[in-house]
Amino acid sequence: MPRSVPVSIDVPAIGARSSLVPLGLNPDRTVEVPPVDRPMQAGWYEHSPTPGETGPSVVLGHVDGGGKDGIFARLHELKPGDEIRIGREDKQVARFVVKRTEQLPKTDFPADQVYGDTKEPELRLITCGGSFDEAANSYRDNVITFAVFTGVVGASDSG
Amino acid sequence: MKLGRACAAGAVLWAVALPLTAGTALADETGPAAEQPSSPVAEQPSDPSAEPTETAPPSVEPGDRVPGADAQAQARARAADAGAPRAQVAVRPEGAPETGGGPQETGIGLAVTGSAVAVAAAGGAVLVLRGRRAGAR
Repeated sequence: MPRSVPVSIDVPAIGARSSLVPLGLNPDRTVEVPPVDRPMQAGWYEHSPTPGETGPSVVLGHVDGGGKDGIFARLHELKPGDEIRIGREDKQVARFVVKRTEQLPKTDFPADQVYGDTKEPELRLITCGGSFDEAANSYRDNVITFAVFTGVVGASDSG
Repeated sequence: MKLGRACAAGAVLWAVALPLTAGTALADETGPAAEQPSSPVAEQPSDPSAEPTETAPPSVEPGDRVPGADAQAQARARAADAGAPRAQVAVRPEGAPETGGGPQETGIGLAVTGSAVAVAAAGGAVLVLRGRRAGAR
């Protein structure tokens, strides 16, 4: 698919639906995340391909925030074959299916798997998981869903 | 006179024979070289005129090939750099994403909310008791 900025995400299997805000880099070169006081807001990493373009498009969302569940609180439940729909600015909806979901320590974040080049359009959904490290004020793990592009489903009905 | 003719004839013979002997000598000298790996050009060592052209290519060819190959390799590298596809993720973030507010935030929120409710309830109770006492008097 040609480049078109994503505007919404819908993951029916876990009841996750949100508009998408563009995310860049923090001054320390870590990836920006949506505001933690808006935990149901997901965001698209703007230096990654747009969903449907060849390459790994990266979408991030909180597991929780402000005392509430986040948009990706149930991301760990996604199984192979589950559907993810991404609405784009060009009114096309890119459809992906889950290939696998992994929970990995943040100290061993698989940057190559997440950000490395791919032959086809792919999608990554990322949130936090595992136990909470009080000292570091951070979850110890990331939950990452890897999905592959299957086609366009039609006009976007959200976003 | 006879001596002069004899000398002249000898000189002519010597002049005619010299190239033949030189060729033989050259052939003898190139004998060991012929033991080196043979090539179509090396199989013609007896021709003196071929010697310069035979030796020139080895001394020229490497010189020509190396700079030429370097230049070509550099040109290819430049072309590859210019045409090399960039990474699909244009800027790769460092570290792992921080996509969680943390459960203790929930605990703190609940504690603050609970405390506020408790204080309000206690205040209300005090007011009610004072009202009853005032009413009783």
